[in-house]
Amino acid sequence: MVDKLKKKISDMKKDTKAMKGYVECFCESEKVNELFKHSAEFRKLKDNVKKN
Amino acid sequence: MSLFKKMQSRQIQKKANSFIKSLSNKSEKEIEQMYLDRKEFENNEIVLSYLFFKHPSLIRILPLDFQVSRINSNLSKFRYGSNEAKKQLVSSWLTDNKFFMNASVVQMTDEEYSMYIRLYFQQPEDVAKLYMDDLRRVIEILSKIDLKATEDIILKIKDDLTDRQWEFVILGCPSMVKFATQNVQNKYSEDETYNLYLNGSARETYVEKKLEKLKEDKSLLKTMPIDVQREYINKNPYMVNYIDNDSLIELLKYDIDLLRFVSFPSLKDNQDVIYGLIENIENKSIKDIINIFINKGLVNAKGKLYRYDSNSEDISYQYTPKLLKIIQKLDINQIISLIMTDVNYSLAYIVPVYNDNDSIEEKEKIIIDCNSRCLYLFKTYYGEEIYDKYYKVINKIFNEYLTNISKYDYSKDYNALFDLFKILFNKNIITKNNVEKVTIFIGMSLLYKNSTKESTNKPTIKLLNDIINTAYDINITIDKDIYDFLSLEIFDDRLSFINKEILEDYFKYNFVHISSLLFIAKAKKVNELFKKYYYIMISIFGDNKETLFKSVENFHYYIDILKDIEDKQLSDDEEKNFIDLIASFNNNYAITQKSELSNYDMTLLKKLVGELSTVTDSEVVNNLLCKYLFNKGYNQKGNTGLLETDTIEDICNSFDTDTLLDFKYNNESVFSKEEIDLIAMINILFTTKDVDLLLSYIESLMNNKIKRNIISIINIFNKLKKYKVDIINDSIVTLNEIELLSAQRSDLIKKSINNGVEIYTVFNQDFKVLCSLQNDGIYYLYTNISELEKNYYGYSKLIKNSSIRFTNKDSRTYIKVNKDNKTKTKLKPEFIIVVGKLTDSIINIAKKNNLKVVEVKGDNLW
Repeated sequence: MVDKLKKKISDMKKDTKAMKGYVECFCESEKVNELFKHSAEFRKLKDNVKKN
Repeated sequence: MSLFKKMQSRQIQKKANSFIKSLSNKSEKEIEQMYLDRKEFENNEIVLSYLFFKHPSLIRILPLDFQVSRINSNLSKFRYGSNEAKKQLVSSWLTDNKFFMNASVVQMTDEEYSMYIRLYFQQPEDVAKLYMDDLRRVIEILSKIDLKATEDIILKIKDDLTDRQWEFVILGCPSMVKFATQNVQNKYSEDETYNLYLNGSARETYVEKKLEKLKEDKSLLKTMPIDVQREYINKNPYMVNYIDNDSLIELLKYDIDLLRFVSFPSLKDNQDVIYGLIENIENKSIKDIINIFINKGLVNAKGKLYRYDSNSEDISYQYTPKLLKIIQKLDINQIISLIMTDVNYSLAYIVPVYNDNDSIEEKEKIIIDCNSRCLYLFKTYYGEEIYDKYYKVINKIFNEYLTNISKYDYSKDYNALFDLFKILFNKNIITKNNVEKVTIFIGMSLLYKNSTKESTNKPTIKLLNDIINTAYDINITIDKDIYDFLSLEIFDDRLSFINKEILEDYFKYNFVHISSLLFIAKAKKVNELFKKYYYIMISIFGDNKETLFKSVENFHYYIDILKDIEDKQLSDDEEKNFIDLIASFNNNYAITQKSELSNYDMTLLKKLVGELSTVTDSEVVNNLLCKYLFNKGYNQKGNTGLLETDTIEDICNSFDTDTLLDFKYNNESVFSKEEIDLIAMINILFTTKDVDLLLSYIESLMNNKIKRNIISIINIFNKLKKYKVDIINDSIVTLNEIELLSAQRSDLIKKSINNGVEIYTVFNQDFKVLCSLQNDGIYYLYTNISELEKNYYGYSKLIKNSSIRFTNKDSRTYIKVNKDNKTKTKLKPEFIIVVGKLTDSIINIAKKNNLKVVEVKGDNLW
């Protein structure tokens, strides 16, 4: 059981779907865009997400 | 009686008379020692009767059975008995229903009265023997001390109580009406004071109304009945970290399992909460004591007794006198169950605790009481045969302490005599080594205690090695004396599944969870399950000391689910959810069955939505959100457990994305672009306190069906932790870099020399520095120079060492080097950072210490 779970943990570590999803939802949210429209960090993040 | 026996009896009588004669003109202290050292008189009726009547103050050191029976027929001697004897005696009074009568005969003080009434917690069946006002008083006192334990008593005896007795029980504590017979409940059903405790629709409506009120005003929580509070916290666990300590103690006393939701590091005076929870510990069952002390990890044994570490001139995290006194209140079977788990509990049980301003006589009395308690403990623990071989050795240790009262102080001595009990209460050592060897070792340790000579220390250490090797069937050589061992149980083979270096490190910083680890290791089946759990935890969090801490602390919350799935096949979703469950701490929703795993992700989401619907505060929303997305509180109040101190707020304060993007280890980038983006998002998201925005973000995640994967997120935190020192070293500006820049860009950094000291004046530049206010080798600060308000010593490199702790506050990272290791990790300052006026005195200090000066100037920095 332990070996099987270790393998699964290793796969889950590499899986970036959730991580990307968190950031994409954030960047796409209207409210977030409205609130942080003047933030250089937010614009930089949006650019990075587009590139990635 | 045969002639031979008659002769023998006469001889014993003669010896006893001669012993009694030898006591004349001796002080009580001398008599005490003479008696304790002559085991043959321990049960001699002549000697015991003589001491009982002629020296009543010594009654407390006489055999327990003798004390109990004699005091019972001479109640005027009650106050001379040992605490253990008095407890046994009162316990028999409860059984015979004579407590109130005898309490008045022996003129108990109010304090004693309240203390002895607590014995009913251990003798519930005797409560049913009480009537009228005695019954009311007992129930009233007990329910105020521990409502849950009083409910347990009533549940046990409810079928034995008459309707008339119920009246007095309910008078003593109205909430007990819920356990009464239907007949009795009917009598109270019309009365509003009582019907809120009755089962049925009236009660449900009452609870619903109360919970509704709590949505509007959470401060009402503490005014509500304790079971309503419990129901509320179970539905809204985050609230447990927002109530005051007194309410928290009452709540946890009522349901200790709510501890799983509590963030100990965030509590103000968390020691007080522990004291509150164990206030009545001596009246708990052994199972409860093990649960509270060991499973819940609230009172693990410590590796040393001293509180004041003269090497570092610092107070350590060891026992307080209050905690020692609580442990010493335990009865013999309770303490033995703890010692069987961890030998080190014995030290806390037998150490004499007194105040510096107590008189010498008072101190002597306390030491002799401890000597007597230690003998009794040893005898009960090992039995008569081993006791006979060692009781004089125990007396010798206490005599050494007694004759050097002004010299020894367990609270300050690193080499405390009581460390020798790590040998004497270690069953492996005592049962596998011969008595001569152990006795010689104790004798040598006492004789050469303060010696620094190699000729005496070397053979003592050699003998200790020999004793340990025999006890644990190993073959090692360790150049340490007994005082340097925080625990000898580290050599137990049952701990061999843990990486040796990590185990040594874990035992070295013996502040928490050593007893919990030993408890797990010593139970065969539990040990097997723990191994599996621990290997999974290592896969998630890495093979380090913190993972071992987390595993030991959290294991008992997962033992049921581990047992349940042990031989079963899990589906892909169940596996993922099981890993998620293990990775989140404290099993918050008490998942114990395989059948609960397939929907665990949905359960979590539903709970999150449910909790968010009751919240209006942005800090709480932040905490709930961070816990769900990142498995970490936004701040301390969002974490759970005794040790979890990392927060998302710390990460926001410590790392900027540019630093992480630039950071390389062995010429390779450590953080991926996705990871950097996530950290950037965290940094931006939590600058807002806009609850609506946070809620709409969560809604957007749900609408887009984004499933959490805390394992990949934990991996980022693991990297941040693993490379923290390297990231700091990579991002700070060093003296070399300043020198280099001054040569290339004199418009930014100008070099000058004043009185032979090199001065670098930096204009309008902000950068990270590693600095220390006093260069004490303990406290350092990692921050931007624009954050500095005083002059600091500057350093170019932080040494990587596991004894470094980081805390964050106001955008600064505070670094504390463990005091015991400060000599190994002490950094050499290279420059003085001057943020104010550069004075001659600063230049002189720099010159004297061969330092350079970095003077920081800039209008737009401060």
